[in-house]
Amino acid sequence: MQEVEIENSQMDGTCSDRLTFEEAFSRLEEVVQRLEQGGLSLTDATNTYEEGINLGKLCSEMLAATELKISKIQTSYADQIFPADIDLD
Amino acid sequence: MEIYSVEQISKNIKDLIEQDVLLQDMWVQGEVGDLHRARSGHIYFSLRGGHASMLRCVMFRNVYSLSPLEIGDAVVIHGKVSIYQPRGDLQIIVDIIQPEGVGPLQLKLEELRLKLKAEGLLEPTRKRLLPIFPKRVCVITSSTGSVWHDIKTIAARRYPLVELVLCPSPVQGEMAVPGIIEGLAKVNNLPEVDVIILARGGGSLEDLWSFNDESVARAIHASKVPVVSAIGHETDETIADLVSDVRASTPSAAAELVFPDRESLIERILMLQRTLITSISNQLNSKTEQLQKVRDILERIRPDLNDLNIQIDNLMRTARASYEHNLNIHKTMLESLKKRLESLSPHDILYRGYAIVESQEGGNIIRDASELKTGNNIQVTVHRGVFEARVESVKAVQ
Repeated sequence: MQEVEIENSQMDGTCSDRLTFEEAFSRLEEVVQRLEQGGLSLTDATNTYEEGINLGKLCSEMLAATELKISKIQTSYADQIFPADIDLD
Repeated sequence: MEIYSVEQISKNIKDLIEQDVLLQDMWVQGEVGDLHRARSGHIYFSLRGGHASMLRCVMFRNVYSLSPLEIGDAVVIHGKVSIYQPRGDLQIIVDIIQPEGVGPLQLKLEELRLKLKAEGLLEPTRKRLLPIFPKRVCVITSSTGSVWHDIKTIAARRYPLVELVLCPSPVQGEMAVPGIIEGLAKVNNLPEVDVIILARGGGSLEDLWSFNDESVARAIHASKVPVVSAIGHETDETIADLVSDVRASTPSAAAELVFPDRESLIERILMLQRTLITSISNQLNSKTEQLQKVRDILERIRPDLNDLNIQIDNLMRTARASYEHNLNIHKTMLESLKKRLESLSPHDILYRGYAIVESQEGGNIIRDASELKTGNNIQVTVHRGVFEARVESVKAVQ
């Protein structure tokens, strides 16, 4: 885990076009619910099933492949940390 | 000599008491006696001191007490003196009660807690829910302590999809309060922060004092981003803990609370995938069954093709016979017509001894003897040839 020191302004606020984990996961839950409810035509059911399987794969891949991203913002008091702040528990 | 009414004197005493700064905001130490709990929930008791001194006290039902009050308890109370005019009783209206021996810091803490509570900062209804899948989490803590290390480790193990941002701040000493307040403000200015963890490891009440600071409490309250506080150990409840949206017993517990667990998520994804497979299999089986039913019905209502084939064969045979019969009739008719036609041919007539006479000049067929004169040249066509001749004489026959 490598920490990157950044300026506050450097932090990006926009996400890429790819689905986020949250989006993929909630879509997966939605798709499973829709298929479980039934009432879909065979074509729709098959398409829904395929979408669900792909989303599940995507979610698992996201969880497996990611490395924790760590950054550090600059503050005025950061260098005034006393040794006493280091707790031993 | 002026004579006053009871009401006037009673009111005069009340005014005097209420104008006295000390009597309106004081801490008094004594022993609980004559304890009486009214049905309304208010508690009436006396506070006894040395030399047979005693003060009447009332504690309204909304006042929080650390432990149930018993006769003989040595306590320190905070409140104001008032006079209950209908009975002329002098009494202290108690708003804080603490067991004796509690230090001044603790008493100050209790006072601040009551103040913030009265302002609504501790209302459970203003606590916000944390997002299930946080994308960016800021941790305000010391960059050198084990707290940051523990939170990083837990985040990496549980939910590496998160982006962790350290906002370093002293968490003890004079610089802690401005550091934490600055940290909260800076983090609130960053885009898309889902949760703030304000954390510090264990310590004494004095060590954790910055987290009982009123301005820190107000900064937490003002944060647009939900704040999870994790200060000291489970038993150390600070003002910051009370104001935060969520209180975690320790920094590690805060991390466990904020980051969803990868293993459980993978388990859940597998379960969802299994549900998908079961669901589609059930639907396919059901459709196959439906298809089989339709097939069975079709099989039942299918016409007997063998019978039809025999019928078709018979019809074909009949048709062919009829066709051949008609053909023969027509062949015979054609033959007869051919013979009739041949009998009408000019060649056939010539063969029988007739001749065709044509004038040599115009090539006209001579049909009447009057068309000829003696000396005319003519051309005569007979069977197998033509010859030219001259008319010697013409005889009309009636």
